[in-house]
Amino acid sequence: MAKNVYTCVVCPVSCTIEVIPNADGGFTTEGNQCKRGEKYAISEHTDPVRMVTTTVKIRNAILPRLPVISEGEVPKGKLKECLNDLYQISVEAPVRCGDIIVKNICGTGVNILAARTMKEKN
Amino acid sequence: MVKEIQKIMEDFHVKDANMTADERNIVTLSGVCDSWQTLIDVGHAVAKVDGVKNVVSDMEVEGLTIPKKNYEPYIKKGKEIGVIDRADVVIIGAGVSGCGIARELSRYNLKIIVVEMGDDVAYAASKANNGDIHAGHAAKSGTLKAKLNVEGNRMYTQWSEELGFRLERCGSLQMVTEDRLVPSVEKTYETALKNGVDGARMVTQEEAIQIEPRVEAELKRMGKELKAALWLPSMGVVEPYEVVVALAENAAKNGVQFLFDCTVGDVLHEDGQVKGVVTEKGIIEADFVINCAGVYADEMSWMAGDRSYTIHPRKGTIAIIDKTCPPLFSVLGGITTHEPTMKKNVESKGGGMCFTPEHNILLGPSATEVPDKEDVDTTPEDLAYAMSRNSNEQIGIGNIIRIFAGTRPADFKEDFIIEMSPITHGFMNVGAIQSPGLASAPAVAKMAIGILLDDMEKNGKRPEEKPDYDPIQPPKLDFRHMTHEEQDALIKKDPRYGKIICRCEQITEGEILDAVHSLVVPTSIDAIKRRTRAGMGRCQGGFCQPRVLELLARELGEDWVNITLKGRGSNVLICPNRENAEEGGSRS
Amino acid sequence: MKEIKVDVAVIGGGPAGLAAALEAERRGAKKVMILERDMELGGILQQCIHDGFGLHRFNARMSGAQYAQKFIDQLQDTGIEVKLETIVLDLTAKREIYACNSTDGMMHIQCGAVILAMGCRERTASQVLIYGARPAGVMTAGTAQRYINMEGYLPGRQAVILGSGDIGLIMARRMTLEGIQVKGVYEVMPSPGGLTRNIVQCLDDYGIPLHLSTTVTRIKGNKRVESVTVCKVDENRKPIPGTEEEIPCDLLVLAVGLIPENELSRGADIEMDPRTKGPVVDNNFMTSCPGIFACGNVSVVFDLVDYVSQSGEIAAAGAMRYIKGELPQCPEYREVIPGDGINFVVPQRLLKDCAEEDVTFFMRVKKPQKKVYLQCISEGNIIKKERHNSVAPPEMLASKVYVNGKGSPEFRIVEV
Repeated sequence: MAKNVYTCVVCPVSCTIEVIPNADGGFTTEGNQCKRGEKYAISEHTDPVRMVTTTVKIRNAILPRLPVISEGEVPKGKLKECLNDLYQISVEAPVRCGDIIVKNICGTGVNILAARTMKEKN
Repeated sequence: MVKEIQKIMEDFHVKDANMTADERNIVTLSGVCDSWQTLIDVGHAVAKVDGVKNVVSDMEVEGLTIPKKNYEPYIKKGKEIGVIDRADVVIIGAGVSGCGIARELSRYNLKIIVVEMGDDVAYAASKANNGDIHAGHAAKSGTLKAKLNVEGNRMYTQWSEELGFRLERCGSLQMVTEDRLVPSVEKTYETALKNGVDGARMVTQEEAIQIEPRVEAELKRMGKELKAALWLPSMGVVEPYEVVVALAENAAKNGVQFLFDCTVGDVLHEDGQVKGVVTEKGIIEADFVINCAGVYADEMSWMAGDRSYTIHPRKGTIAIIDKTCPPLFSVLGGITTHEPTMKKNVESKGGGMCFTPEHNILLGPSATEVPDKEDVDTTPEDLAYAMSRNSNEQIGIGNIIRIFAGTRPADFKEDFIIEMSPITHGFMNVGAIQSPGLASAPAVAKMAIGILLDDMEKNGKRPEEKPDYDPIQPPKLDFRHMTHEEQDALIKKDPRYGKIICRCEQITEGEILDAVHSLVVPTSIDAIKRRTRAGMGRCQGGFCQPRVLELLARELGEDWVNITLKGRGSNVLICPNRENAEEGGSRS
Repeated sequence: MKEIKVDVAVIGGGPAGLAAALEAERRGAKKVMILERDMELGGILQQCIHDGFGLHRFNARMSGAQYAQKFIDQLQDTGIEVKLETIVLDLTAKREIYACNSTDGMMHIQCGAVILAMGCRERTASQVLIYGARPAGVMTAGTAQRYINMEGYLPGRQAVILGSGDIGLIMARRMTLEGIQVKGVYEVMPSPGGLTRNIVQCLDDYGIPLHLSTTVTRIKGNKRVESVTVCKVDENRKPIPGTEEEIPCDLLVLAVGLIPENELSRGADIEMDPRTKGPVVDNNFMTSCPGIFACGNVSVVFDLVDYVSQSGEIAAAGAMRYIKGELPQCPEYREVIPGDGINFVVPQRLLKDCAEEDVTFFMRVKKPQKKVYLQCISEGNIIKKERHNSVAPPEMLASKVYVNGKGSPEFRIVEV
């Protein structure tokens, strides 16, 4: 049986929320103290998403690794695939913060951006 | 003698007890004891029997496997490689005894090789002690220890001047505020007199205050008066590894060769004459082998065919206190108001509260008998002992920046063994050099060399003194203690001194590079720490370890993953970040 | 020796220092200088590649490096002078700084005002009394983070993490993604030290167990870590005999707390607060030494970088007031009182006559509680009352209070 109990991360109250399927294909929740909790739990249940943050290899820069971040969240199930792709790429300095490092990573529609500016080695 | 020994073993309920004694009255004991402490107690009791020269223990302990080092792999490796060199003198061990002897011997026209199992000098007991240059008041009168301690203490001034390490002859003022504590101070004074300790005298409260004016305020705060005070002006402190590094570098400057990561697996001897050593780096032939192997000295002696003592490691744990809690007084010792709360090991003087030349307070060492020579683990019990030596209310557990432990090489006689083996000529024991081995080191070296030269002379082979022997080692640059003007001038001359690598201790890149490019090359992060203090401060290398690692890799031309914390097998980094999905180990 | 005069010197170019320098310039400082010991600005943010920064300030999910970049980019259009790889060796109560680097040599900098922004450092294994051996493979979370995120090396293959603060949790995820097997996160306290979001997204997502009321007591392995012993603790955080368990691993990562780095402050004889381990500051974040201000993690360890930046701006505003002569040379103070349920409040005191202004107070509660009011009482009146559904020690409370009158404000937690 799939997981249906979630710890809410919307605010520090950290409600434990149970997601219960409706007859009409929708969901109701129990345990949440606010509307935002309901939304979070249903989203975690049906379509969980995560940010991608990691580093990629950078050549000719002051440091060997460049931090990168996704422009938005990607489906949680695609996270591993996104990271594996990122481990295989290598960029060349200089890079500016916000430069697109990978477009539409793994077909998620989300771009991966450089998370900082990095100059070339002098 | 035999009966007395048998009685001792009976009294301690040693099962299957047996003893033998050779013509030298070296007593070998076997049997099964109920605990490690019993084994130690039996050894000590037997060693005290009249006529016993020393004790070798083959005793076992019920339910305990006493760890034994397996030398086979080293022998195999060494024999495969074969003879790699020939020396007049091979010294086993690069601690303060080995390096001291190497340096003093380097004035003669001899080929000297020092072999060391660790990756650096001062790898074991010589680094893990509190750096006290004891006056000689604590050693039992009449022992070799007592004699060499007083003599060694005196000789430190010259060593320090020639070798450029810091010696702070701060003196020790042992003060008590209670009548019942007076006898113990008087007893120490008597011992000091008997041992010939320089300048030892009982002083009045007024004199004590003259020596250390802060005593007055402290007594006032306590609302107490001094009942007795013993002044030992010759007591001093050093950074022990500074001493050993200076000795080694000076020895190297005068031609001594050092081989690190070079464990001795066997000592070659034939017809009562030493022939050399088998090391993991190959065989080195030699006319003389000097055994300064610390906790392993008994095993080396056994390899040389002379089984004449057993080393039982005594672990000492020390807590280092942050510099933000400076010592109360500029002298060692202090004001004692009550008996120690924790009993110390009767065979060891243990340690109290002292400080380093950098004025970090040190608490300890403890003195715990352990079966394993490699056991340098810290324990809550040992730390509790070290902290019980604290007499400053301002200091607590929260001020500790590091706890460390080392093992002291004690034998059952609890005295130094410095002699040419009567069994294997050319093999010389400099064994059981436990505390006060650091303070005694110059005298130990002098005595050992005396024996060696006499022997060479007897055989008509007394070596000549080298005309170009240079006893001087310039003091290390010490950025953090310079004035800002001096620092400015230094940076102008060499910009590398303008780059601070260790923030806590203010150690510059220049100082680290000086160390890397010295004659005795440090290759690990701890070796750099011992030479420069980088990583010795309150963050314990949190910030500077990656920087030191980077510098070491760059200067030694090594990959980052090959740089170790403390020698072979202690690599800091395992591998580069994974570069593709298939690598990186255990992720499922 | 180089003689330099500046209006405002900022020691440290991390988030606090960057915000302070920019704010000082905005408020009219002519010569602002940042003294940074690293080779680039941004401080510890440069190794924080995870997201979660800037939620308050920029209403965005940024990584630490991105957050730092925002400030670094702003410097471009200013006259702020940045000295990199520059270490401050001494600070005097007379606002003089001795600092050096390879190109300038030693500098003697006389400052109109000094802003301390040196940040904090991590507690070590000896400081949390882990016994046993001292092999390679024991490091603080920050050092591990630097090796992995900036230098590109892995410091182990199988890790145990001690400490469930956010840094420990973030590193659990980061190491897992890099292929290091994280055997578990151990926390001596009965509740996690980090945010729930991080428990969920850093541990639960990857099936990493969190063991509460459990600590690491011993390290085995003379050369490299071979295993650690973990042990349950009682309510006084004392290990319970018989609950020991040996966990094979080659890396122990310590995330056991941060300590403000105040060696320079002590050198200038600045009064310290034993609870925050930072200088005692007033409503301008001025220390006991007139003209010397403190902000960011050197004043108190904050939980959010947004607050760190904010404190930098408050300190810079104070510094400019000081330079303009708007602050008393011999200030008199009234204390801010941490009342029921409050561990500490920063600033610790207010200028006696600082009436009529908004002051932001940062505080931590003593224990987790649900449904409470945070009250501020002054001269017997409740001058501020905020409802919180949940409060916990790891999460700092920031409360803006309009301060008037002459009383000593007291903060307290009361149940709803």
